[in-house]
Formats: sequence, structure tokens, C-alpha cells
Amino acid sequence: MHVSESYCPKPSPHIGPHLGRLRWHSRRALLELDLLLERFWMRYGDSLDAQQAVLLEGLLELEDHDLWDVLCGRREIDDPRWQGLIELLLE
Amino acid sequence: MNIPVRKFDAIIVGAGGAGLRAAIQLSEAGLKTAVLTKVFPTRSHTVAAQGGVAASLGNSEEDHWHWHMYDTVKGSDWLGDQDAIEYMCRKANEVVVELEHYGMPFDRLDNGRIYQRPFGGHMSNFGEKPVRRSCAAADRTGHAMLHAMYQRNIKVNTQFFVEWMALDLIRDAEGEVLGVTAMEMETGEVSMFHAKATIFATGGAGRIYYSSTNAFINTGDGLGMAARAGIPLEDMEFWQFHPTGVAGAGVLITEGVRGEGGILRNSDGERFMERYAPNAKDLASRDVVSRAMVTEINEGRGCGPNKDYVLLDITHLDPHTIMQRLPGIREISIQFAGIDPIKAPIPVVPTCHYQMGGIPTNYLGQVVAPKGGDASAAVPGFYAAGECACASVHGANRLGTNSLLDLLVFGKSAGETAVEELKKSPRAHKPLAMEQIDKSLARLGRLNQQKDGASVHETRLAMQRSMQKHCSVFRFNDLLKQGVKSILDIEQQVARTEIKDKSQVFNTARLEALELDNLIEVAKATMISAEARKESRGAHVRDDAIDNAATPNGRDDQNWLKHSLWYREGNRLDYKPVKMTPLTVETIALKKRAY
Repeated sequence: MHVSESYCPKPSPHIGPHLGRLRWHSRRALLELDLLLERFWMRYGDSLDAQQAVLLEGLLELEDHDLWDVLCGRREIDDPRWQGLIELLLE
Repeated sequence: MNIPVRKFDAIIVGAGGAGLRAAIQLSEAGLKTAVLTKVFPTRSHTVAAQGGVAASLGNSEEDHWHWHMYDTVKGSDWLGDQDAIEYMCRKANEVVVELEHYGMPFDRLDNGRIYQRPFGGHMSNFGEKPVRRSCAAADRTGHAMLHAMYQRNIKVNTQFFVEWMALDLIRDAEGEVLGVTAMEMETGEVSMFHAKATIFATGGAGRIYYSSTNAFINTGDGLGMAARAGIPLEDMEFWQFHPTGVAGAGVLITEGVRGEGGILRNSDGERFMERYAPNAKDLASRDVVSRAMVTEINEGRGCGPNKDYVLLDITHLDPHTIMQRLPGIREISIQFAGIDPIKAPIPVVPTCHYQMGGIPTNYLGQVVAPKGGDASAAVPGFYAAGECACASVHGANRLGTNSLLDLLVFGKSAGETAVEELKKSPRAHKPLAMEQIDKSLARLGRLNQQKDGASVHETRLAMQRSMQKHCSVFRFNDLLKQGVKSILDIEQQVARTEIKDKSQVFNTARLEALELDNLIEVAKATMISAEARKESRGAHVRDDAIDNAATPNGRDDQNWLKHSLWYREGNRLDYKPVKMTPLTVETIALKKRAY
């Protein structure tokens, strides 16, 4: 997997500066999460819609180990609407 | 320009384990204390620490701080300062029990005492046999530790400035540290944090390497700020590498994989460890395996289009065994190498893991630098603890579970010393010249105005690749010399990085450019210090260091039993003696390091 630490998506007009905050909240304590989230931003950062941004915000509020367990399927998700986002993260 | 000034008795930069521990000490003493942090405290990289914290509690079998001290000195390959090592090992029980009182959910024995497990390099009776010394909270020790200490800080009214990035250290004409400049990410606004005591606890800088186990936040911000303010960086040539990180990603593949029968292979499919360690083969010690891997890559037997990794093969194992005993590894391999290890081998490379050097401190947590004939004169008002600091307890190589101990002991001692200093000589804040913010504003202004500049991403990648190629786990004289030239060339690119997005609110492009300003200082310090040290010691292993009776394993005590000090100005190197005299016991005498 290619490591990129520097992808800055164009702010979508309808989400605006909120995207920058989410982007920064994707900086995590665990490298595993940094890598998956970075790949997500590279692929979908430009096309993220407001609904996805809200869901991502909720997902990013999880503790790091819990988020990793969710992504590995070892922990049940709190919000069933996260499933689509998780699939994009693991794609 | 009207720059806000925020006054505190003490400010701490960084909210990982060391920063939180220091903050408890200051706030409990009634001092007005602020903690600045890039990310929410419980998202600091301390979370990733799993192994535990070392303390000779002796809950399961006999143990003693003196045995722990011996192991740490030996692990450091005698580069650690023996006064600081004695201090740390003696304080270990106290800080672990305090942590327990803060609510840390340590694993327990049936009798209610803290459970302890063995860990590599920790022995009883001065190296005789393994001892159970590591205190852990399942595999989430760092995470639990941060939560316990964050809650304690809330109780004692520590003020947190979350998502603030410190930019530069503020020093007056006499060299006293008066605080930092910092930027609030949400607004892009720059403020001055004016303090009587400034403590850096900013963590390591493992992102200088292309292959690193460190999270993206580990960009050496404190080291960059200290270097720009004229403080030297100590022993920066010493970095601990883990043999099996996933190539291109850095995520660790545990040694347990080789324990289950995993084999390392080169591009010819050869099990090359048979040549380097005929008996232990793939289960040889970390440094032996890492050096063998790098030799294979350097001699053209690496794999992949760039021939820059080797393969960890478990395809011969029963898939049931892999699924049963190594499930996490399969997930990591699929996610980060795109390979199902049941079907194909995993690309791996020795991976940067921990920084032994840092901002020079004494065991009281005071930052020290040579001044007027004193090799370790305290820099007034300035303290550092944790991975960003060099006390020096890890010397040339750190023992597992001593990193969490380091941040607890020296986080506490830095806080304690600051409290004592402020009580000893109560005074008002020294006057702050507003011109001192100019350097930070100039850096931000340069970034905003740069035209036709270098890409932050490309420049950082060039730095990381150069560090990996020239100054990795096994070091060669010619490569180090080329590396110095390469990293100084890259420094020129860092000085002219350009960002397209000039917005103020959570501008991650600007933040990453500022982080690169810090990373490059660490990269220069590492490369230049490594090129200069003409011996092998601990994690610094040179191909040309001669292994004979006078210099066992290439370690040359006659000429190199000393700490390196790199100064940013002129890339100057200086050296200072290792403190061989402990506080109360006899010196642990030099001998060949062998396990």
C-alpha cells in the first residue's frame, strides 16, 4: 500500500471548511488507521457528500482500538448507516 | 499586528503520556497549567504502546530495581547515563502505583496484585534469567494509561488547548525559555503562550523514515522547535528498527509469525537467514535479522520492481494454523500489502520504530546544553520528557516496556522540578518582546507567498526515501556520506515548499508543511550524527566497524563512549561524556553486550 500523508481534498462547497476538520480528525494514534483513512481521502475526498461527512464524523469519534476492531469486523457497529462507509474504507 | 498573549505558570506541548503526567504534577501543585496538543489527548501515539510498563514490583517472583538498572545499562550498550537510569528504575514502582491510584485498570493476579509478564531483555540477578517485570492492561496499556491520566488532569483543572500546533520556542536574550508561539487550527490564528516553565512532550519523529511503525502525527515538532532555537539534539543516530514491517506501509508483523514457522526469502526464493544465522535462522535476534535483510537488499537480492524488500513466507503453513493463530496478521497483510498470506508471501522491510535520542535533559527533566565549560548546563525555564527527550536512559538501544516507564518517570520529574523551581524563586513573568513572534510569522508568511515552490508531499517522500536508503538499520560509510549530501539538498527544497490552499480553517496543507519544517531538522541531525560516529553501538551498526577484542561488536569505547550533540547552526557536532556514575550504587562496568 502506498503511503501518502499529504492529500488535501478540494473543499466541497456544501461541506466547506468542515472537511478540513474531518481530514485532521483522520490523523490517528494508530498507523493502521492513518493508512486506511488516508487511502479513503485520496479516493473519495473530492466526492464526499454532506451525509457521508456526518457519518464519517461519527465513525471518527470512536477510540482508535475500537475503530480498528470495527474495521476488522471484530466489533459490532453502533450505527448501521456506517456500513457503507466502512466498505469504502476497506475497499 | 495584534497577537494575543495567553499567560500561564506552565505550558506543556504534547498530550501523550509524558505531557499528561507532567501536567498532573503542575496542576496538583496549584499552578495555572495549559497543555497544547495537535490531536485530542487520547489520540496521542502512546495509545499504540501494547507491551506494558516495566517496574520491579516483584509481584510474581523476586525482583529488584538494581537488576532492572543493570538490564537497562546493558541494553543501552553503555551509552545510557547511569544516574538517569538508576533514577528511572528506582522510581518505577512509585509511578506505577500512582497510576493505579489514578484508575489504571492493570491486569491482576488472583491475590489482587498487579500481574506482571516477562519481556525481552528484562532479567533477574544481573542478567541471569528472565523475570516478570512488565505491568500491562491487556494489549491496551498505552490507551488505558492515557485515559487514566487525562481524567486525573480534568479533576485537577488542567486547561487543554486541543488542536493547536506549537510553532516556535520563545527565548530571551539570556537564553531563558519564555513559552511558545502556537496556531489554533480552527481559526489559523497565531498566539503567544507566555509561561514561567515550558515543558516539551511532543513524542518521536519516526516519520523521517519511509518505512515507519509510527503514526502520521509523529513529526518531531518539539525537536524541530528546539533545534531552531539553538538547542542541540543528542544521540540522534540511534533509532530502533523492527525487522518485519509491511513494505511501503510500516505496519508491524509480529515476531510471532516467524515463531509459527514463517520464513524470510530473497528474490531468488532463498531462505537467506540460513547463511547469516545457521542455528537460529529466521528466529535470530532483531538486529541480526534486520541486518541480514538489508544486506540482501543492498546486494541486489531484494524483491519487487525496486528490489527494496524481502518476503515473509507463510504459504507452507496449514491455512487453519494461519487463521487460528495469526488472524490479525492476515488482516494486516490483506489490507496493507494487498496479499493474502495464505496464498503469497508478505513483502517486509526493517522498519523504524523508536527514537532513542532527542532534546538533551538531565534526570530532573531539565533541558541541558553546554555552556561556559559546563557540558550539561540547564536551560532556564525549559523541560522535556518522553520520546522527544534524551535523559539519556535508552542510550544506543531501548529495552521493551522502558518507553512507557520513561514517560511516566520523566514526565513526573519534569513537572516536579518546574514546581520546585517556581516555588524556590517566585516571580512575575519575564517581559516578552513581541518581536519574538517574528520568526513564526515569517515562516507562515513565506509559506503563503511561495510561488513555483516544491510540493510538500514530494519533498517529504524524498526525505523519507533518502533516510531509508542512506541511514537505515545497517549503515555503510559511502552511503552515509551520500546521505548527508542528499538530505542537505532536500533541506533546500523544504525551505521553498508551496501550498496551494491558503485558507485559515483546518488547513491541513499548511499543517503538513509546518510539520515538514520539523522533520527535516530531525533528518539532518540523524544523518550527520550517524555519518560521524565511526563505530557500531546498539542500534547504530556500521559495516566498517571492526569486531575484535579491543572493539567487541565494533563498539569503540576508547573513542566513542560519548554522546553526540548536533547543532542546527552550521550542522555542527559536539560531544559530551556519558555519565558513568550512578546516584548511589557502583558503576555498572563496561563489557561486551551479549545475550
